[in-house]
Amino acid sequence: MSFDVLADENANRPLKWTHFVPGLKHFRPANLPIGSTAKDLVHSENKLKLFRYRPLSTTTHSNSGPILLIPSLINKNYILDLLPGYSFAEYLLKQGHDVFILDWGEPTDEDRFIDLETIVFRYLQRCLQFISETTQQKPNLIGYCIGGTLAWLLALEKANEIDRICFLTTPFDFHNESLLSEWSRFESFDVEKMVESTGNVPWYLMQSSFHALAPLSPIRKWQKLAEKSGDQEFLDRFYALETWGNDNVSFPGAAFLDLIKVLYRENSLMKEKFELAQHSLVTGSIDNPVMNVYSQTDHIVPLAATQALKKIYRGTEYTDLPSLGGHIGAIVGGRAQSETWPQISQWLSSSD
Amino acid sequence: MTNKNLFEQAYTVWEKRTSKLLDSAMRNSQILKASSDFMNQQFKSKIVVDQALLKTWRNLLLPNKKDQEKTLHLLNELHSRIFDLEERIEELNQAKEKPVTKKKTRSKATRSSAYP
Repeated sequence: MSFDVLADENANRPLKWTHFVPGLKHFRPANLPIGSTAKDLVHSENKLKLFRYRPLSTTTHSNSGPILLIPSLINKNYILDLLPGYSFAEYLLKQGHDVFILDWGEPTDEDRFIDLETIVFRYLQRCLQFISETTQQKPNLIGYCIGGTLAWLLALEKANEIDRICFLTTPFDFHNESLLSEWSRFESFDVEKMVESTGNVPWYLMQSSFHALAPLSPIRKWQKLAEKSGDQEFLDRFYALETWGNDNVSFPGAAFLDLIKVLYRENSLMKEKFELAQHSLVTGSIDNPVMNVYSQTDHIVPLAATQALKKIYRGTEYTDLPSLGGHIGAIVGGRAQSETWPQISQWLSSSD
Repeated sequence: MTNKNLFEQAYTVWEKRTSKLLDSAMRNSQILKASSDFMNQQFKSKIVVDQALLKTWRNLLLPNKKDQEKTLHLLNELHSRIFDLEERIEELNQAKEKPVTKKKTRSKATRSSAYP
């Protein structure tokens, strides 16, 4: 069919811009209360911000320390505080926990020099110290995706300053069967040249590779949207997740180089000992209680990648928590809300 | 069986086969090599253009993008060092105040307002 025929057809049905614009507004509603649980800024360093949520419960967990939520570096932190009534942070607060959350911020051009060591052993460590000093208790860490990997790296050196660690769909073994692992390790991929030319690795490069992992999934997603278009609760959650999924941040250049070289190519987390810049890290140094939340259908962090924690953890208090859904659904899906969140809260409250 | 069910079954079969095909294509070393080479070439070209621009600014005795990035990064480093020093001073003060058991906590206001 030629474009002329299409043009002729459309001539009888002119585009109604008066409908188009409200339609777009309906798809990306700007007024969804995303990440709106009340919180206060308590510390900041470069682009990083540390927030402390205001309590939502009159009872507090005397036997559970404060919780630090560590989001992934690639996405915004509000996946852990999506919507009122559908927020992991809000749930923890209602259970009486004292909750802090990190916001990595959006790196600007000068942040290309920030490496993994700076992120973990300067920014993250200072937040840990700040929380301990403010609350006079050892913090519990909850890391989502790469945020969990950062928590593990910090714990390798500061295990005695941390209480419990919960990993949400976190990769440990980077030599896995996922496409991301294969692409990152492919020898012709010149990561140095990439970082030299882009500075910070742009979010759109990273997002397009995530989309390429499951190129057909958008069809199912839109089908589900069409089926449930009358369900306002579903629509709110869907729009909130879509907003989050398209609201990515670029990756600091030097940190990306470390991610590919140290984690993906050398698979350092699976070694007994390894170096991260000035830090000599020993795998067996963590004996804190850990909980590993994973999904069997995660196409970003495959089961083997996250289950590898069992191999490198030398402590005695290891808890596995399988969750349903994919990489995101396992943490914020309906089943996660009714089953996974209560178990995490209960586990955190069972501190000595 | 309704047409809708038939279509759904056909779609599921198509989806499975296409996913498999796409997955094997994206793991294919020849395809990966070709796309890596293409990307590397783009990066190299950008580096050449960037370096030419840097030299131009330098020849005009003006600060270039790299200079600005380094300066801003150093300012951030300086800010972190100030935090390090604050912590050190606090530790020394605490050591001095011994045997006072209660640990001083850092002022939240100072922390959050120190850097906008």
